[in-house]
Amino acid sequence: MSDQTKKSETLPLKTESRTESQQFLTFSMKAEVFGISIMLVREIIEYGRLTKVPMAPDHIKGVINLRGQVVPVIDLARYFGLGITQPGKTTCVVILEVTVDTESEILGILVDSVDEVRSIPENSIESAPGLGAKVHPEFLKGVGKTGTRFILLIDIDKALDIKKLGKFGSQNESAKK
Amino acid sequence: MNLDSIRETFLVESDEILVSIEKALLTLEENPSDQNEINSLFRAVHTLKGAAGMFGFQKTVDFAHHLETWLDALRSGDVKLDSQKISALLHAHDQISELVNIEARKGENVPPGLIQNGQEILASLTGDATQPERNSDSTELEEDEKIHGIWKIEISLKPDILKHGLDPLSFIRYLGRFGEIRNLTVDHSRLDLDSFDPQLCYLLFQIDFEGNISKSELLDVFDFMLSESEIKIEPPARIIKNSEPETSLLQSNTKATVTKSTGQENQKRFIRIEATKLDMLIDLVGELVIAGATIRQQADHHKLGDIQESAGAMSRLIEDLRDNVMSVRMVQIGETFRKFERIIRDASKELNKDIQMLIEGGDTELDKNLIENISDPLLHLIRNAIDHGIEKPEQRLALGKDSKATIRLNAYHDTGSIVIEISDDGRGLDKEKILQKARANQLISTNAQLTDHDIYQLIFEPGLSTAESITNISGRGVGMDVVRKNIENMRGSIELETTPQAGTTFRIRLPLTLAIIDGFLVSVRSNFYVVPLDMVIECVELSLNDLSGGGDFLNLRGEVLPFLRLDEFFAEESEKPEKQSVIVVKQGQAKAGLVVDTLEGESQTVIKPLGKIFDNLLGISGATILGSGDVALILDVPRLIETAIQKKSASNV
Repeated sequence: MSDQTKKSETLPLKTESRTESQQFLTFSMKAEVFGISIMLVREIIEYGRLTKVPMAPDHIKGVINLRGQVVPVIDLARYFGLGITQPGKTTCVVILEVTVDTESEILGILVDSVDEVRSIPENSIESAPGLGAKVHPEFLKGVGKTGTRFILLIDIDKALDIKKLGKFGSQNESAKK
Repeated sequence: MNLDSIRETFLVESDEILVSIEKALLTLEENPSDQNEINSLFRAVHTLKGAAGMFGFQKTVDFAHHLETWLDALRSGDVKLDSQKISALLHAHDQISELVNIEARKGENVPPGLIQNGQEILASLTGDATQPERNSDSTELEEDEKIHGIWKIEISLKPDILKHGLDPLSFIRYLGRFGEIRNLTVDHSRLDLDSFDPQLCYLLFQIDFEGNISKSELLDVFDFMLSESEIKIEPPARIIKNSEPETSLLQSNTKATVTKSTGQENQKRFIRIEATKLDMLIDLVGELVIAGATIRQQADHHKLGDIQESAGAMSRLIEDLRDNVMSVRMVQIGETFRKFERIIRDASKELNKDIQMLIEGGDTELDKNLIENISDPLLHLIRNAIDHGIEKPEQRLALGKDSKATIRLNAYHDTGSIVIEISDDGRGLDKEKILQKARANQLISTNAQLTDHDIYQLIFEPGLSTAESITNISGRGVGMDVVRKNIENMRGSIELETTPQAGTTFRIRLPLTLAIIDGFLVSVRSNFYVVPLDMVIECVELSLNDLSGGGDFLNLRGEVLPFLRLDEFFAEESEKPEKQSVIVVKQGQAKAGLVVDTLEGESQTVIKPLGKIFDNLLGISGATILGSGDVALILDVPRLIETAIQKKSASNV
């Protein structure tokens, strides 16, 4: 096992020039490690004052004031059906820029803690397993292997589909159906 | 600047020119001898031709050129205008618009049919005026005719040409490509060494140029400097005699361009700004207002005397700044009104009705975004007036009215909002017909007792058209409900007044701007909400004595007031405070109460859109940021109450 670890840590230096490698911001939600393409991340802010939006779906935690812009914050863990995120010391909001109908839209996702930015070569990404994962594979691009860890790579287009997010009910449940 | 953006500029400009052409034509229809309008018509076509020429939109240029030639004859009084000619000119306007659309916007080839159409229009213009046509044709030939010989070109430059980034030398060098510059005389008599300013251009040039070239080609060479200079071109000697008057024509052409750009005809100086830049500026100023308010609060809170004073001064400046920035986005409504002139004209011709349009308050300003959104509803109301409201001339005469009907468009400011009125002097609304139709479509029950006002408001309900026949102008029974919805989306309202046989007036009331509203700030537990101030009638304390029975009703000075507990409705879980207040809001004709925890008072609210994610959310129309940095949500009161009623009836089932 330790051999394998070494291999995968030294190999990327060589393979990087040959295979495409993407950078991911990794963070944890409910003890799972997730990754999101760094290209979509605008900034990371501390979890602070949040205004609840009444009558909105439960997975929409509320809105925050991001330097004058009103930005919705989504409890992705809840949306994925992992349970409600309880704000703690390390809780952060990752601000993402996603494209909806050619217009870009800013939104934040609530995470338990932010880890680091990692390069993951294409050939270390495997398709999401249909079985065994807590998160429905529809929301994942794949699973990245870095050393001993598995990183669940979120498919933003599917997981943060604004039109679906605005509707009630956890998408995980409807996707499972 | 890339080519696309220049082309975009051309499209915007040509749209404006087309509007001014149309406007001039409609004025001329009233008063065919108005020399000012004829001149501006000529200039407009000339400018358009020039602009199209720069991009090589050849078919547009060709057509505009012939039109210009005819207009020039009109300008010099060789031909006269009559209603037929005006119609032909209006068709010519449509033709240009179509050509621009195909050549410039779509970048396609012009179909031969359209060119044919253009020739027919020109033929109908020149048809019975062969004499001036030939005249102008000959001038036209001369301008385009290539003549080999020595041309004399005199360039008088404005002193500040260099400041505008134009280098006369490069033009002269460019000229050299078309032939040979035989002689170049530089006149430096303007140069005074004592007051010499190196940034100014003192030189005048006289060029003897030999080449096989036409006058218009020569002018093209200097196209970019035309506004900064006066250029005289003398054709080669052998035809100088008969071209004497032509030189003066050319000069006047050049001058026309100059006066146009310096804005003579009380045109103010305009700068074209990208709308998004302006929106961003307005956003930032909105932020500044909030930040300023925060500083003031802090200064008040810490009781820092001198800082309080400076903060106060700053706040005032920021408010001025905000007002100014907001005014940048304000445009006059007149332009929009004038667009309808053509529609009224065409529609009345089609329906054989005689209608004149009166515009009042065209200089009333409102937010550009509002103007864009109000155009369609206005168009609909006007079409309705033409089609349903106004009778045929015979009918009007039989009723003892003037056979010429009038549609009046009026705009004015009224206590923080804009009012737009569309009135006609037609037959008015038929109360019985509306009632019948409403009953037939089961909009009201057969025995409902309605006031006149309520009956007339029914026309804004979906599926109610009082026209017996459907024409292609209106009458499909879709529309009035859409009109009302569009207006309500702009946070406006619409009402109407009608007198049988005397006419109908629609009155649209709109907020001055979409970006800022006067709000009333309240809080429910730890969250803040803003209720648009114009919805609020009064505020009362919620005391247990007023509660009549167990239901959510309140005894408001003998009146029964149903209310909605916002905390319960919003599923707030924390404990209710001891005291709560009720804000009484308008709910259509009735009143309703909203129970909140605390009343925070009035506040100017800069509206921020909630993201697309909240598109499905009813009852909340936007958000705003408070001085403290907290986000407050703006309540959409009518929808909120509607949602509450639906929920209640759903839970009762």
